[in-house]
Amino acid sequence: MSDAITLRNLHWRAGKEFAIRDLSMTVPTGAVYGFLGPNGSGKTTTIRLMLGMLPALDGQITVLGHVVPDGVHTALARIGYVPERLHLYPGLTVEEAIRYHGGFYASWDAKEAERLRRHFTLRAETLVGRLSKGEAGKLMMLLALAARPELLVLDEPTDGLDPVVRRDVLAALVEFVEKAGSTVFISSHLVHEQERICDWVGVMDGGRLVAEMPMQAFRAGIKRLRVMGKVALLDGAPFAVLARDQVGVREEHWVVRGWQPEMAAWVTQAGGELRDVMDLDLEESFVELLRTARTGEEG
Amino acid sequence: MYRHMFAVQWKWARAPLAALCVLGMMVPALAMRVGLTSYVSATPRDLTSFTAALGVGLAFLAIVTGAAVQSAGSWPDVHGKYVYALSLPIAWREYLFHRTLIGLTLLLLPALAVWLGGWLAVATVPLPDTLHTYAGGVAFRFLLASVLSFAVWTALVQLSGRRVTLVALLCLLALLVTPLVLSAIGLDLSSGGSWNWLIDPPSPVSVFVSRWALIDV
Repeated sequence: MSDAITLRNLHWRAGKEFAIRDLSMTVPTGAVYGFLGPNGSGKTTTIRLMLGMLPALDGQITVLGHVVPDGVHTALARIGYVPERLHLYPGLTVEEAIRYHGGFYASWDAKEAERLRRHFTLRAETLVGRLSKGEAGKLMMLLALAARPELLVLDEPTDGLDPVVRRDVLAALVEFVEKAGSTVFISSHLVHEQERICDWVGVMDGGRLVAEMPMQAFRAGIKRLRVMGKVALLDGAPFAVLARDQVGVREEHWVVRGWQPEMAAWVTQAGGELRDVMDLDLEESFVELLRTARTGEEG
Repeated sequence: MYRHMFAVQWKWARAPLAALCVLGMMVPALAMRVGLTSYVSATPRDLTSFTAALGVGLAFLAIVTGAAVQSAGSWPDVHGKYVYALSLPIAWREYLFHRTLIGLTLLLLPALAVWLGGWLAVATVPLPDTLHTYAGGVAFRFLLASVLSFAVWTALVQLSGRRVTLVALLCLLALLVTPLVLSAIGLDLSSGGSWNWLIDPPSPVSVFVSRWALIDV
């Protein structure tokens, strides 16, 4: 089965300050791919490049087997897209916006759209421009889901939403994925949210993809070690040390990547005593990963 | 898809269109009414000149009509920086073609109103046998003028603010330099002055400045 999205050696530049550099990424078909990164790291730009809204300077983009930008409108017929800000026409009512949007999709499910409208408690006659942020988020999600897409591209879909609305939107998303088995590409800086629903993760920083792996590998590979005693040098360690903090007189905490249980012997040989191996949650892993990537870049 | 695009564009444009249609009907009627008041003491030639002079109002209205219908159709996309339009599964060329086609279709309504206003204006007053009415001709001229205005606004909307400034400067430069160049190489395309080449046929601008006579000999 081919991948839903592939980016190869993508380049893009906006002025002198920001550039996407040599970006390569693969989103497997059927994956729920979390696209993580701090604000301004290039997530939205990458999404706009992959949907043909911005022209790449160089590189290849393939989405659902269609080369972008040439075949992008054919691909878009199979994609549901939720941008980070309300992009719909403010002068239309909810009902008109739904009808208008549905007119462009052969796969449009009007019954599902109506069901979701009621489920999200959106009033048909309310003007889109007068919707609250939460209602606007629900409407955009409704439009993306009712097109029965093979690929959902969500750009910060829950950013700024209150917890109740966020839960509604995510529940609708999870329900859809369970039913349809579509691929989901979800960009966010809300790491905990991604942790709950994603099975793949890509981390973007400063216009570069600094990591891409299955979520399980991402979470399992980064650990915090509690080490007693002095280990002068960590050269030759079978794992990568992302951070090393002195906690007490004899105690150190190491954040390491690529940890395996059998590596405990190496710590002992190096003069330390391994007291504990702790899992990091995704947010801690994310922060440590970014810290390492930035340190490496500076170095 | 076209049906949905039409419905939306109609919603955006219907209020300005209604106002433009009312104005389009009123201008010929007003021209005739004011002209007839003066007709008591004026010759038929004075009457035709007077109604033609008021026809200038129609030229101005045509410019406003083209701009209004174009803006009504494009403003929501411009306001949203085209994100929604570009995310729809339709080729950009096709999308613009539909929007333009719908805009041009909507321009028929004010032209129809001008024709109706002109027809009613001339039908309700007795005219001398030497004078003829041209309600259809004026309405057709109005349609051409509003289409030209629509086309110019469409072109401008597709440009960035910087490019619009550049185009305006180039136009100004062309206006200043072209007569000088023509004169220097001994070509005089105008018969009545150095600027007439701009407004005389075959220049498209001539549709605005030629005679908008509702009644003529």
